[in-house]
Amino acid sequence: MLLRRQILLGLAVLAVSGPAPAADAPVDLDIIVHSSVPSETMDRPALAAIFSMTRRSWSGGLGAVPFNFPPESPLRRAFDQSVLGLAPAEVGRFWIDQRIRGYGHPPRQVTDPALMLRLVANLKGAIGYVPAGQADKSVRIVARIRQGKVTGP
Amino acid sequence: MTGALIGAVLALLAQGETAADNTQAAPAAPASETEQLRLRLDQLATRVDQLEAEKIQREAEAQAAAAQQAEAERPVLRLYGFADAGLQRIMPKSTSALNLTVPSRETTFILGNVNLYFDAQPSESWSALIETRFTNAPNGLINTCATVGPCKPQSTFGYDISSPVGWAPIRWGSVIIERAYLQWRYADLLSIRVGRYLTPFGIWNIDHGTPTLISLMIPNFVINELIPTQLTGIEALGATAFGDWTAGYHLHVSNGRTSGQQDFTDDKMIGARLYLRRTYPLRWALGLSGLAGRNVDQTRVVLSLLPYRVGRQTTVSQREIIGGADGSLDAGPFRLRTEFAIRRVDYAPGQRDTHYDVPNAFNANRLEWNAYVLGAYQLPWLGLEPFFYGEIYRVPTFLSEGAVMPSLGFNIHFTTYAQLKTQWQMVHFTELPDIFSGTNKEHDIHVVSTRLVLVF
Repeated sequence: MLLRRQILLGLAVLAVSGPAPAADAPVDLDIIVHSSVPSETMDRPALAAIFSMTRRSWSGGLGAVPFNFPPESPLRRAFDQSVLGLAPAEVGRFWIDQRIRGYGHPPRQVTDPALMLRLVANLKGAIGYVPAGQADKSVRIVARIRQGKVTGP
Repeated sequence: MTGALIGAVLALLAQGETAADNTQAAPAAPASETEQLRLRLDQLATRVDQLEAEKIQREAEAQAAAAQQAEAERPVLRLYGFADAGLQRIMPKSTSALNLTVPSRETTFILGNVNLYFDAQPSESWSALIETRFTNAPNGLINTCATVGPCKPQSTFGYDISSPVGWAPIRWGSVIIERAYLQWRYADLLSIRVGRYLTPFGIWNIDHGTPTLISLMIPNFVINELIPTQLTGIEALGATAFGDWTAGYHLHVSNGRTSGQQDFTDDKMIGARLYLRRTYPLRWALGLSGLAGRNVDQTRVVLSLLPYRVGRQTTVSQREIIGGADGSLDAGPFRLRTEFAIRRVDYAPGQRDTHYDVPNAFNANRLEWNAYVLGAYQLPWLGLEPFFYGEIYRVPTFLSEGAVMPSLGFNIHFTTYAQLKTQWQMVHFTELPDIFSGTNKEHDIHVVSTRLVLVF
């Protein structure tokens, strides 16, 4: 009986003390697409399908070209947590698993929001994200991330 | 450019100051001249701002153009892989007949997998994936030795006549083609693969690499080939996402099991896999897999010399049907995997294959099955991930009817790319044949393995 209680207590401690959640403060982001992308708005599952490469083309057949920031970027961590629901280590493991299985590669990475903006503005089918307020008229905003939640544009 | 302009502005300002100083000694300059200078100054300041903005924009455009070019010229060939090496000890009792299955009972260092992927995508729609494994095999391999007498490993020892001294010892190894296929992608819902691919069956056979697998131990349905792990043929696959759900399929037609590389019948193996996956907030998946086919082996014999006639004789003919179900769950630090596989094999009369090369022993019609469950939990410290693994199977062989295999292990995730995997497993055989002396427990085998794994 005592042993059972100890085991249950141990399991409870483990359940509570899982890997520490990301300590990053919420970063507000705007999700931007090239003018050729047919979607006017995108919800979180639609973004997750594109950025996990489950969905590789837009409706109409145009190839989807997602761009990400590097894993160490606070923008990337905020995006992954809000859209995929994954911590940085989980994202890393996810993409290694995908490669070993032969399921493909992660989206290409850019280092700088200004570059992200220009790339998405100039490349057909492109989708990316920039800090809130940095998008201009060269791109279209299809979703926003505010306080860790994906909302409409 | 900007620096020069700023210099010019400063010079003008200095002139303005000088002019202002001179007003004390010389007659006052006309007010309009000062205003003109101030106007000129404002114009120059505005110009400096414009040039700064243009410079930033030009830099961003140059970067974007470079990135666009890089995107357009994305690498046609990617090279990556994984490797693992470590220690293991397999411990059957010295009196157990199961020593037969174990090459070494001592602690031994092991070079495990050295797998290299060649991943080519020359265009959006066309790609190819080749996964190779470099191995020391066949050096040191043993075949099953069920007869009385010495059971010696193979040797690939020889002398390298191309060495500078013309006489250097070598032990040659080999390259295993794990898979090699060409793929055309039409849409998310349809891609076509042709070549040699991993059989789309359950979880383990697709994960298959030590970095992705949680457990080091290999399920019995792979070891005893309840499924062919690779197939040569054609495969259609696709998936569609709706909300947080993804539904996908694999359909394939292949040679199935062949003794060589070519099929001796037009009766191809067919197979299918269907899966349903949810990705948020928890990630879980359920899958069903199936295969059905006929396996035939032949020999060719010269029937007569004049006229010269060759006949074909079917030596093995079996029909099989295989089914499987699998489930997985990823809930934060907790990972769960479970699979079940079942196979029915029936032979044509007089066309059975030999049982583990034992003389005059032939395989029977049979029903085989295997199931395992695996649970792992990553602790918040040191990347430590303990796990349990339990497996049970019924696969009749001359050694036993089946086994129960409890196992415990832990992985240490040093980084995303490096981990140490350690596992203990006990194999407890059930329904041992009469030729085995003692109780079943006396034939238990304990295995301890550890591997350092690196993805590159």
